[in-house]
Amino acid sequence: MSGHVDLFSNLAIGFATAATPANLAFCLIGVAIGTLVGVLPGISPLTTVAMLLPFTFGLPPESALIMLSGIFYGAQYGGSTTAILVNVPGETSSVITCIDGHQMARQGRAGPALAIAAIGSFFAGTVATVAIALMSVPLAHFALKFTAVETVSLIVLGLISAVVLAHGSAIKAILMIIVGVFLGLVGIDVNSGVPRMTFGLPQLADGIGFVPVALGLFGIAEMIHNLATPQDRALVRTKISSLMPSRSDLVAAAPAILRGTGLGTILGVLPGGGAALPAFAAYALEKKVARDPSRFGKGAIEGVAGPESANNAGAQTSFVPMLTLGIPSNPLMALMIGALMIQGIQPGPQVMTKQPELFWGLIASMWIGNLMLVVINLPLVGVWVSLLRVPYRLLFPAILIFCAIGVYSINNAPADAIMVAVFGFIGYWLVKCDFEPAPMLLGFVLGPLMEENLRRAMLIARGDPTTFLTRPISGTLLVIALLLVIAAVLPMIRSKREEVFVEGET
Amino acid sequence: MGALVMRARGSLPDLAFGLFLLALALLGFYATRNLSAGTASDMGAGYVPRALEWALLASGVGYVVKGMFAGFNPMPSFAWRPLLTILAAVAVFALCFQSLGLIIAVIAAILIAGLAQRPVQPHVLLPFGVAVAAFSGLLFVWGLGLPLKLWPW
Repeated sequence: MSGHVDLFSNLAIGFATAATPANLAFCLIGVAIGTLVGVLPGISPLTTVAMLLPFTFGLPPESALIMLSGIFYGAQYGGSTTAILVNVPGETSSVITCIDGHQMARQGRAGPALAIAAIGSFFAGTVATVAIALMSVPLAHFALKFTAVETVSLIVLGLISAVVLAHGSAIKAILMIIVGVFLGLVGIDVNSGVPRMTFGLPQLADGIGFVPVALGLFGIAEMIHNLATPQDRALVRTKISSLMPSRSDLVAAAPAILRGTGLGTILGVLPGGGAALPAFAAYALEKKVARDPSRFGKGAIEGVAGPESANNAGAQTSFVPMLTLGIPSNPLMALMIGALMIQGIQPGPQVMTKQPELFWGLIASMWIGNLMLVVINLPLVGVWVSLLRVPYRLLFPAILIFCAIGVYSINNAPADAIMVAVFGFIGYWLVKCDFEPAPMLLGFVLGPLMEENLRRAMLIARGDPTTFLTRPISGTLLVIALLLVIAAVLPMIRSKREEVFVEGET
Repeated sequence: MGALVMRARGSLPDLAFGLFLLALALLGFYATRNLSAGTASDMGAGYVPRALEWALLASGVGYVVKGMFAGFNPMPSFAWRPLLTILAAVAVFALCFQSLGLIIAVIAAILIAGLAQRPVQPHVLLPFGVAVAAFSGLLFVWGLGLPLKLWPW
């Protein structure tokens, strides 16, 4: 029973850290910015985190992570508001909420839709917080036994599964990973101290900065895309009379919230997880279990409750692989890894034992943040919606400036800002040609780590690569990775996977 | 017309991606030419980069071949106006900052970024740029205490 005692004492450490006035303030700032980003279509949490990252360098690591995480899960709340009221998803994960949420709004039931989304998200957030706390300890203890050999196999598995669960062609995605790993190796080699691929430029000695890469690949490319495809934002002119859902709404939504939470919690942990896949999957599930599936698309409250719970649960549990194994499951978690590294913390299972305040403080802050989100979202919904009147025409230059100042302030170097432009072009070009840049960022962040461990592992094994297969844990991880590749290439499973995504896009 | 359709072959996005991979590989081979690869049991600084360069080279060739022989697939049309203005705004900001300071760099970048969309509205952009510049100065230099230069002098 010592496990329970541990859990409570761990959470006590966490709440003691998260509830200091400074960290409460950073949590509030994080979720408020997250909500803002979620409400405004065209600005992703990824861009926002990358943009704000340079400004957190001076903060203590737990404050930085608490704030940056708040942006991610806060955005899942805000995204539903725009989806329901404007029929434009504030985030990819709320694409699905538009379908039934906006129909409810048109029928004059915007209030209950917003309330159910918030209640579902809060419930999911609470469950996910407990789930993270319960899962992390055994996972991290397991991973603490890993040697360099297992670490390499784990990174391979992490990268491969990110590919399999991502959108689009697996072969292209694997190539993007290789490009990312390759670019990640630029800079001084840690083992020998020799500069590699720096072309004699002192600006490249520390490697290509990952903030410029992330901002360019995602932020700039996103901006250009938004400017090329202007959206109209037609607000529903109905007044939100009552936020209170009726008893029958609650009865219909409760099981959907439970299912969505469960599904989101599980799917979020998987590499490649995040907030979007759980939402799509939850909608498909709700439609499947409903007695009358034809109600979906016409304002079924389960179609709001399920996906909204799922995306919030998934957003939170996607922290598990990052926190316990040091493996990011999506590009945003790659940024979190980067944030840790810049703070001088080596991500991995040892974070939990060496930095318990950081680890448990972050988890506790998620629950506190979820509570704040309910409070700042529901009563203030009118304020957030009025922000939609700010035209993108004025929004994007301001964002561009903040990105540029942030990148510049890292090293006071113009070269970093130029790098943003270079990767901005690459990112836009890749997306236009159907190559996804997300695996590239994962490879970029994990590449150096993988090389270092590979060299150490091969040294120990005296150059015998079969060691990766003969060591049981490592071998198992690689076999799983192989099975995933086969699954991704097999046409039958692939079409099933596409189905889940297509469901949300039509 | 028929002849034109006959001649229009190849998938340009794949071809471009293949050339990109080839360029990366060749640049890499050149940049790592002096690094020792070592052996599998004692890898040098050049081992992993060279392995990746071979992988990039092979897949680059693959994509170029695919791009040349696949059915016709044109390059998607780029939104050149926003693309170039945004990139130019970032570049101008980066280059102006050190010599001219934050305020002028911000205003210049906003004016350039404003060209991304038609109609260009200088009467909106200029005051907006001044406002953002003032706000950034207050927030970053005064509020967050970042050591950034505000003015040219």
